[in-house]
Amino acid sequence: MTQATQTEADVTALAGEPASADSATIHRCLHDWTRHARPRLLSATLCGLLNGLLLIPQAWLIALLVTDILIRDAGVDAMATSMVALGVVMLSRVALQALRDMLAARAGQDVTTALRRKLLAHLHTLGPAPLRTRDSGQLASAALEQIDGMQQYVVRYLPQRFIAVAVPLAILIAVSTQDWLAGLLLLLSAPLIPLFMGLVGMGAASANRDQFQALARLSSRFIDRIQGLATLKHFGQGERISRELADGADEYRVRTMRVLRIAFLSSAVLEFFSSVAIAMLAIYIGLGLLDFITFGPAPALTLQSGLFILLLAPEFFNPLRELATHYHDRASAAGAAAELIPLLSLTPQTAPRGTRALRTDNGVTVKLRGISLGYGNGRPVVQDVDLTLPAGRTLLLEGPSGSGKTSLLYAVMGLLQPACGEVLINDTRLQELAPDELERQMGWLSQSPQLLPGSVRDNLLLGAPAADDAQLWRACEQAGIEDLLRLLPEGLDTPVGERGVGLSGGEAQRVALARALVRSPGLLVLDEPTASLDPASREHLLEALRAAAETGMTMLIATHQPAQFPWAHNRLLLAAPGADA
Amino acid sequence: MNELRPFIRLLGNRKRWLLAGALLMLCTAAANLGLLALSGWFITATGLTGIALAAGVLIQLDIYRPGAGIRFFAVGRAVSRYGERLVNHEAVFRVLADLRVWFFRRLLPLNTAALGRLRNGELLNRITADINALDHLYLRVFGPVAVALLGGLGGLVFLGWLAAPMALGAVAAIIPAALLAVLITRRYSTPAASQSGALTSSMREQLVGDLQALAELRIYGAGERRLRQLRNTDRQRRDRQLRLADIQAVSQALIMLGTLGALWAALYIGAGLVAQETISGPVMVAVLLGLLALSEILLPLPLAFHMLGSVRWSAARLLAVADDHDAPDACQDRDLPESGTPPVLAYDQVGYRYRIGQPSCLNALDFRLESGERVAILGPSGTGKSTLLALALGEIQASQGGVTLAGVDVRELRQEVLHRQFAWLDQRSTLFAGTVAMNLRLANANADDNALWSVLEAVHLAEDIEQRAGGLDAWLGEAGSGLSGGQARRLTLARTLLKPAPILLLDEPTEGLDRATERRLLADIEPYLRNRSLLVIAHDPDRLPRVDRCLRLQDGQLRAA
Repeated sequence: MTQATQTEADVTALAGEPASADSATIHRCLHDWTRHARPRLLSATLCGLLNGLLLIPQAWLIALLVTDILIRDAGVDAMATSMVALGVVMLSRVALQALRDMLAARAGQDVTTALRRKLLAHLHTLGPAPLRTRDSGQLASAALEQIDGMQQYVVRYLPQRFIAVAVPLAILIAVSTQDWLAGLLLLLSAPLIPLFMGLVGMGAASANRDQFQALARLSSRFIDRIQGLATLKHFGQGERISRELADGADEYRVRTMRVLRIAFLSSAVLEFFSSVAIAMLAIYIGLGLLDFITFGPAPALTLQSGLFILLLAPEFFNPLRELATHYHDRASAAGAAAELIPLLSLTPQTAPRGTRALRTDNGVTVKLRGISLGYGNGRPVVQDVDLTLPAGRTLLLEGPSGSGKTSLLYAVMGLLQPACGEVLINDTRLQELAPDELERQMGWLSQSPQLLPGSVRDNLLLGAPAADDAQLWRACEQAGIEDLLRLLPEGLDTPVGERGVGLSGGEAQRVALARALVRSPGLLVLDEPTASLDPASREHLLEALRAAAETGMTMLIATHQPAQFPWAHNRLLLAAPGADA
Repeated sequence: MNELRPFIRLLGNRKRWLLAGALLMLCTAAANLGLLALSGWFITATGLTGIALAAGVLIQLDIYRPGAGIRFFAVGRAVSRYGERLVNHEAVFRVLADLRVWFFRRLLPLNTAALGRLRNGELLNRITADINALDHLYLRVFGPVAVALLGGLGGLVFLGWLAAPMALGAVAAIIPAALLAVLITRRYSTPAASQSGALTSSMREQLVGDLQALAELRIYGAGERRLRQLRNTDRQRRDRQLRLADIQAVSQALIMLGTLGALWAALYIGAGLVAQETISGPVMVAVLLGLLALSEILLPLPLAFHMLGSVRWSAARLLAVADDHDAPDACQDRDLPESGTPPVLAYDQVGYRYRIGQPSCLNALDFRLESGERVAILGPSGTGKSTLLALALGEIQASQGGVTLAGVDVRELRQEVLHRQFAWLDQRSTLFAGTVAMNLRLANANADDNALWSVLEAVHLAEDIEQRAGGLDAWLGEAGSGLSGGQARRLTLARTLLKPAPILLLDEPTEGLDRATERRLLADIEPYLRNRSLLVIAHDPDRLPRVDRCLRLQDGQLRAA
């Protein structure tokens, strides 16, 4: 029953979803999110850059030392100086490398922590109305895994993007000062570096995308089958499905490999160019040194300059190669952003608040005047509803699934701003009441009991932080849970919530009722409070509700089963969506 | 490392692919070493020759063979890198399939309680993440370590053959640095990884709880406090992750220190060797450049050990899920004698309690479902009606007495044999991502389209399915999404009816249907009940198919209603 309501609501609500983000938006957002980490990112990039630039003196010193050893017979002192200088350059490179990694990791955490804070705060601000169709497990993995997925983008990709341009450029210049033809050779082997990078990037991106997609599809199929394993086993299909999974994985492999074989070619091209360039340089320098080449700068080549060029040649291509391996970090960041942007662009639909106090000496009266409710641009869920609920009375809100019962409750609670019409609490407009004025007077019970992890006492105190034990026990008695709690060894300190043991759904729902009652609310709002309960617990809860109604609180109950509440004073029937169209 | 053993065994099944991949990785490393070393040798040799020629000394240098060698290594490096990527991806895809199938098979013997826990979205998310992490076991952990060890060793032996003292000097620099890096990673990174994993779990738990209780948090004004708690956990998690990053940065820097130190030491030693004329100049340069090339295969080492920590953590958690069961207390190896009629299902003095210390929900209960008999069991749920069905399927164990099928204790029957006797509609029966037909044929692989349409007709779903694009081939999303709850329920009922089992166990088959549809449906499924035994559970005596007896479950006993 509950399930049916949920799914149908899902289907009707999909109309109002915000559109998914396009790639321009994604990149703008990635840019915005990483902005405040810029200073650290910049220092990390500088460290990386410096590390790369130090390759040039390192190569120069090695070439110098080799020449000294082989040809020049330089003095021991000169060589010692060069060796020390080489050691200093090497140690600086090691230190810069470590520093870069540490700084980049901090920049990455800056970005993800800030983004996660933003998302968490946003989710809390949104409240239940805009998130009603979202699976909380998926939201949680957006906040954890998806945001974590941006980390490598910041740590690796962003710094490397600059390093991969600047370091090869510097090497190119250094090589050209020694032999412009060798420089030209390097330049030609990477024809127009940006174009080349684009090519590699696109290849890597599409390869990664295909691979990710195949993996994602495989995973979701796998998880779907695991979820229903009990059913599969009952039908004796376990073995067959495991073969099906194997076949599916094989099929994905064959299909993906077909794509990858092409996609890897682009990186193979980079690899090929770099190998061939090194080989050509070596041969060119060798022939130049033998004076076989008599044109251009070749005759001026020396062993030292030749070695210098050869040592730098592989480093010319390395930053590019590294960038290509980090390319999938960018893809996964874009993927994460595509998931996060629609979430972050959801707007809160809570009603604004004013400054007036709520006087409740004579209980709480609720009036709705011409209320229409809707989500986003979708069709209104509730249209033009009038309702008067005098203090101390109970009203049943009836109607088929999708007729907007829960939305109407949200409107009364200030969790959903009506598209038009107004909500009056004791003849004051809801928007004029100060924040918390209404909340303090209200208790709420949803379809399934939502207890926070902690003890029964923690949960009860949520409703009335100042309540003493006697008050807590009285609320438990009213909610019909006292007897059970007295039996449990830990009493009010019995743990509940996700890790808590021992409370059945019905028992938890009664604890939730006690939590609502302990604050002696003027208004109790209930959304199908018995929907997830078995009949025995249902009876228990209905008893407790009837008793609570007799104490004179105002009650608003959304239900499919009005017969359960024979003592209700009024009923309001909501039409099915579209029935009036 | 025990937790990795089953996964290593899985890798063993793809030995050839993995070996081929590793071999190609080694080839790439060797070609790279060859390319740089030979180029260095060549340049130096030509340089020295050029100087000698200029000085009027006549010497000859063969430039063709080294030139051809350089070109060979260059092309070889590019080709073997391409081949390595292809073969390794092929291998990883195969291992990935093996891993999933292995895990799935490993879950099959779990009992229903454990399988029921697998419906938890959070656990499923975790399994997905852990399985994905284990996909890295070869490509990010074993592969690079093997190549670093073998390639490093081979390369050093080769360079040692050229100039032993230089290679020894390099070893003296690399080995301590690499060992230190590995030690630091193993010592500090594993605990930090498991702490960060535990914090992730606890954060997810908190977050899911909060998201489900957003209205409550708002009404009871607890939102701020919970948000602070979340931020607090996140801060702790960030600290652990930064620690991990720092450990990795330090070990990475150590490896770099080792390789650069090796170069430095080799240069220093080489100078002496050349002065003593133990080795020639070109050989010295070849060794230096060879060392540069070798450093490339050592660089992934810290990352591999870092990954090892998280892979082990994932492996341990996967095994915990797969081993989440109690051993059956009897051998499940008996078959049922073949007979043309449904076997008698008998409950003999059955007692059952959910938890020790709680009152029993079934108490010395006696009941026989005769062959072909139809019995309804009424009573509020929570009194143990569904427990009766679960006992028959051997999903839970009676605390007293036992359940027999044709005289054989169900706990002794082979599981497949037992399940073949029953068509069971559970409150939690699941639909799968796939077509309508695929979902139905789970119950009976041989059913033709006509059979499928008739059973859909009987549960009043044929019209809905006909209207969908594709009809029987209409695609249902995960867990049957795309159907309303009521439609999903009827499709699972249709699937149950389609299963050719002698005993039908229906747990509230019409739950969630409106009265009119329900009445027609109960009449229309009649043909599917014929010649079978039926045990049906309901709240309400008006909501039943035709039955022979109505019983009420009260105080742990069945009484005539």
